Amino acid sequence: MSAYAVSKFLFELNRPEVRAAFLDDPESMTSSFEGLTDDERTAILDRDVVYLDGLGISIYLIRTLELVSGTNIIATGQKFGGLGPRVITSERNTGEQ
Amino acid sequence: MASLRSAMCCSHAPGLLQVDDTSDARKRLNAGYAAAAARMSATPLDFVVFVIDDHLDNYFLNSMPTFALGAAPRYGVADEGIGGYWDGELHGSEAASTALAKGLVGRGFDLAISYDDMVLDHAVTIPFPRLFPENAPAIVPLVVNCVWSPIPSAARVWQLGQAIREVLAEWDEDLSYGLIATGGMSHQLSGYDFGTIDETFDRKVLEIICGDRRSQLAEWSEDDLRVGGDGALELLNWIAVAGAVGDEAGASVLAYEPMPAAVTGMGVICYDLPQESQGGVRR
Repeated sequence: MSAYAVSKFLFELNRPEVRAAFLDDPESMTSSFEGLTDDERTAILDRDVVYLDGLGISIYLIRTLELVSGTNIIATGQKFGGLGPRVITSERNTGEQ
Repeated sequence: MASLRSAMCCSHAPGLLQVDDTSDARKRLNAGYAAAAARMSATPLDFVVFVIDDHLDNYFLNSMPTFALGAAPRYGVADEGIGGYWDGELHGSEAASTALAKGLVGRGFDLAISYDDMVLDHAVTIPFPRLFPENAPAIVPLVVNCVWSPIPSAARVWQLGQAIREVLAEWDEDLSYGLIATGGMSHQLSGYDFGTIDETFDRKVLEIICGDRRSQLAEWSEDDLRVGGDGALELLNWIAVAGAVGDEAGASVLAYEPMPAAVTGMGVICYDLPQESQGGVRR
């Protein structure tokens, strides 16, 4: 699968000692993580959630990076550039009517 | 036999923790969880099966089970990048887990089984303290993959729910248990549609759950579920519990609020099981 190393890196952030090391020195921490390409590493350092989402990374792993960075879910969502949290009423079919 | 005494489904979005929100919608939602807690505590339960998804907090892409069962004496709280959403304790029922593992595998549900070192994320740690503020029961987590393609079909999770009830009914222990599905309702956490809550979709789901032919949910496709956003795939957990309950019992919506602040359509539904309505708790 694509971008497995990125997913694995984000999963590892759930460990407090890994998280602390990342926040302390993100450049060297990501450089020493096996399998990350330069573009992937840059996206992690820039918290580029649109790029990471485009790689097919689970939003639940991207959210870990964001929470580790102190960014809440609403602010993460704003990075996608859409209309944000809102309620719609659709007339689309949902299953057998 | 172990008897199903309580069954319900509810959302688990961490937005439930936004205590500074004093809106009427928030109050109604909190009242719904409190009402569900009262329903759950009215019937003493020996254990509760939580049908949940794991948001890549315990399982990971090195080994991604379609269905997984916890069979541990206790469960950890997943970190989720913040040190966890709760600091309480989660005790397991190894006996119930073992009975379910044997019975479900025997019926052709080829589960992954976690015997220890399993952590549970907000799918449990958000609703659990709200539903069991005291007298916390032992739990059995049953994880359905709702987060990474390919996901199981609605028909299969309906069958899984049926099988859970059959297995526990055949178990040679005279115990009472509850079934709780968490997740949903409509929400979309990635992409341009981030934040979209489809109230029409949610109300359709509630209407079907509360109707007399909720088995039609077993016919839903993945695309039918995705109308409510990627997060609505978590309704597979609800469909499993619906399968356990079947079409006969009624159901009551204790709360439904489309909550932009929580980025999710939030619902709390309790089934009106015959034993429960008769008040006859056999112990």
